[in-house]
Amino acid sequence: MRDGKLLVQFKNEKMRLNRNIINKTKFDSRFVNILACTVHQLKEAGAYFGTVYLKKEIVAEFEVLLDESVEASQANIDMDAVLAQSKKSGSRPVFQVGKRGHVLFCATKSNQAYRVRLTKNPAKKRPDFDSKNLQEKDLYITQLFQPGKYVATHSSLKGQQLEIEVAYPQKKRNSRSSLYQKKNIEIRKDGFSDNSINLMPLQALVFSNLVPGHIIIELVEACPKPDTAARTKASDLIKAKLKKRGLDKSIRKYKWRNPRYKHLQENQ
Amino acid sequence: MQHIRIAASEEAFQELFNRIRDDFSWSTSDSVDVGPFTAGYGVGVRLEGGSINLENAPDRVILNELDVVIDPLFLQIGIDLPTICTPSICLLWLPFLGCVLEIPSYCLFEDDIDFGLDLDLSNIIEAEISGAFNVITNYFNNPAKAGQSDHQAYFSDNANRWQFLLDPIWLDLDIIDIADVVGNILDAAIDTAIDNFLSGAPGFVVDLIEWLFGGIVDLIVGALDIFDDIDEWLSDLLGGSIGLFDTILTIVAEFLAADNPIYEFQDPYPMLTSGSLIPVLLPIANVDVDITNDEFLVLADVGS
Repeated sequence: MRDGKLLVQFKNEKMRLNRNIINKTKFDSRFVNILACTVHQLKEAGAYFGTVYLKKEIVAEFEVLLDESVEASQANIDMDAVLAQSKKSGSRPVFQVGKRGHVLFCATKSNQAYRVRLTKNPAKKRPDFDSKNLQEKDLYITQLFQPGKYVATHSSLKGQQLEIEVAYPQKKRNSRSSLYQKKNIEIRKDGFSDNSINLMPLQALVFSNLVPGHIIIELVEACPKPDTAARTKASDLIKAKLKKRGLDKSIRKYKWRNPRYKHLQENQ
Repeated sequence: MQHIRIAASEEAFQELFNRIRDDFSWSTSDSVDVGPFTAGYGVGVRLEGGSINLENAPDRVILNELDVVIDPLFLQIGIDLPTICTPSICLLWLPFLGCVLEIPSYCLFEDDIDFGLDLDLSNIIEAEISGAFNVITNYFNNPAKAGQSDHQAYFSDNANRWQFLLDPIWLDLDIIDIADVVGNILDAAIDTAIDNFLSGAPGFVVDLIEWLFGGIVDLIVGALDIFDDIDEWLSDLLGGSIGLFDTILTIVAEFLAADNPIYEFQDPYPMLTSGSLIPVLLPIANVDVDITNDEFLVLADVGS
C-alpha cells in the first residue's frame, strides 16, 4: 500500500443512462422511436419489403416474411438494430411472422424520428404500411416515463384533447401490477373515447381505431418529487431481514497450529 | 550444576515481550474475485497489549489478549449488475394461445452496471491473539564476523550470539467485535455509489427504478450476498474469501519464531567492560532454558 492508496485499480466508469428514455416528453405517431411503437397486421402470406427513413433519406432496408407455418405471432422490428446492421454489414435483415401477422415497429435505444414503409409490391405507389399515415386497424402505443400532466391531440380532431396524468411512483403506495394493465383509447369522429385518464409510468397507452392524421402527446407540467420519498438504507434492510430470521451475532475464532507440535494435545 | 544462571521475572519477561511486540508491523494489498463481486483491499496491522504468563511442567509461555490493531483497512468492492430494463407488456392475450402481441422492453442503461464501493474500515474490528510458546535456543553465527578475532568482532558489533526465540505451539485469533458503525459506513458508500452512477439524472428516475425493481439498494445488498448481519458478512469476506485473519496468524507466528529473539547475548560474553582495559570475553556453552511459574531461566556453562 503506498500513501494510504490501494494498489488495485477498479473500473469505475460513470454508467451511461439512456437519456433518450428519461428525457422523452413528446410523442408523434408519425414516427417510430423510443417508448413509442406501431403495430400493423399483415394479411397475405409472402415477402414484404421495408424501408427506413430518417429526415426523408433512406437509411436502411429489411424484409418481413409472412409464413403461415411459422409459430411466431409477432415480429419485432427494432429500427436501431436494423440501422446498426445496415451500417455494419450493408445487409438487409429478414424477419419472419406467422399467420397472425403482427409486425411491431419500435426503437429500443434512440429517439430518432424513424419513418417506416412496408410494401408487398415495390412497383405499387401506395405502400401496405406507412408510419406517417396510420390506418384504422393499426395501433399506436406509447409508454410515458416522466411523471406529470400530458395532453394528447389529433390533427383531425380540432379542439379535442385527452388529458393524461402520469402519477409519481411511490413504492408503498402504488402497486406495480398496474404497469401490466394497458389503457385503450379509441379515436372517434367527435374526439377521443375518454377526456382524461390516469396512468403509472411506463403503463401502455394504446390508441386504436385510428383516423387519418396523427397524434401528438406532450408533457405540459412535470410532477415534482415528493418530500417523503427517501432512499432505503442497506443497514435497515439487513436489520429487518436479520430480525425476521432471529439470528444472533457470533464471535469468530481462527486457529493456527504448529505442525511440529502435533503430538501435543492442547485443548484449544 | 551450570556455571551461569540468568533469571528474568515474569514482569521482566513481559517487558522483553513488549519490545518485540512493538517492533511488529505488517501491511499488504491485493484483490480477490468473490463471484458476484470483486474485493480489493489494503491493510496494515500492528500489535498492542497482551499479557504473559509463565508456566512450569510443561514449560510454556502463555500469551493472553494480544490486541490486533487492523489499521488502516480499506476495501474497494466492485459489483457487476445486469442492466436494468423495463418489463415486456402484453397487448393481446388469447385463450389457449397466451400472449400473441407484446411491447418490447427498454433498457435504462447502455451496458451492465458497474458499482464501486469504497469502505474505510480502519479500527473497527476488535481482535485478540492468544497462544502458547516454547522457548527455543538458537546459536547465531554472524556472517559479518568472518575473519575477525573475538575482540575485533566485539568492537565492531559482529559477535556471534545466543538467541532465545518464542516458538509458537498454537495461536488463536478471536474476532471480538465489529463496531456498529460498519452499517453506517456501508450505507454511506452505497449512497455515494448510487449518486455517482445516477449523476445528473432527475430525482424521479431513482424513485421510478425503486418502484419498478424493488430498489437499487436491494440489488446491491443482494449482489453482495448480505443475508445475515453486516458483521457476519464482513467477517466472512475478510476471514473467508480474503483469508486475512489466517494470514495475520501466520505472519505473527513467523515473526516471533524466526526473526525476533525475545532475548540474546553475545558469545563470547564480555566481562569487565568498564575501565581502560579491553574486556574479558567469556565463551558460553551448553545453553539451556527453564521456565518456572515465576521466572524464565537461562542456564549455561563457561566454555573452553
